Amino acid sequence: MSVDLSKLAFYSGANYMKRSDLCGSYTIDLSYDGVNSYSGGSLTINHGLGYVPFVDVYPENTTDTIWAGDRVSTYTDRILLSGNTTDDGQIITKDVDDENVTISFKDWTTTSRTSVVVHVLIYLDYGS
Amino acid sequence: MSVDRSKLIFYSGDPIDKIVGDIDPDIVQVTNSGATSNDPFAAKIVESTISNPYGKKCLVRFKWSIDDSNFDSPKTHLYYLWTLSFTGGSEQLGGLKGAVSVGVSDSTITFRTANGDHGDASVTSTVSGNVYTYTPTSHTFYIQYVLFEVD
Repeated sequence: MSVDLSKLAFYSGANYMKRSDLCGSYTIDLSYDGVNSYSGGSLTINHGLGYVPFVDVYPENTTDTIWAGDRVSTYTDRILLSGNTTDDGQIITKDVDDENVTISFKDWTTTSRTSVVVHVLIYLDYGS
Repeated sequence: MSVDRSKLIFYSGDPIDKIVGDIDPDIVQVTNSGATSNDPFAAKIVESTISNPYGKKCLVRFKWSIDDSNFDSPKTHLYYLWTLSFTGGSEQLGGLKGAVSVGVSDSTITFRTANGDHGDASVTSTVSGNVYTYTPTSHTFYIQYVLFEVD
């Protein structure tokens, strides 16, 4: 087995979290659902671990900024609570089971966005 | 305890998170005066930006607080209750006290805060629409973060 030396810098004072080989950048196709004022879409990744791993997802918006999860907005709480509001927020959710990660993204700034890049982290160390 | 980093060479069969720069988290403060005029249901958005000293897009983990003591996770939305008074009665409603997002580009780190906090409100109907009266509540958001590499 070859070893990538660039992965070896390590500080034991931090938590040790091993990434799955499935970690990386994915593109989710988005479309207007014809009812609500957002562009939305979802993606399923089969991790096949047999347990529910810890997963983090980071969407990259059209200005090349990677957000740590949602992008809060004026009516973020309304979007979260009712899901039916025009706003400038971006909401990302993930459902994880012992076989798959399903990521859903909604961009409330536009109904014409066609894709979003998401950076997905699946950690092997712990799960349930 | 001091750390001798020369002792920390480590083999992992899998990729791991690599913190960018100093391992110690940085902290920023963003003051958001709260609420918006004549819309007690809306949060005020205030962003603060700094230059990204690493010059590359990174992922970020952070926690945040509005009292510099009790910290919340990135996904947390703090809610509160307020009372809206109107002719003939009143109603208790929920509002957003605080929420935070952090975004990182190769040149900029953006700290985005939402604050819809205000005191109790009253509403008067006029020919040009409802007029709400209330006093916004300002909060200082303390955001502690570390950057780590995408891959």
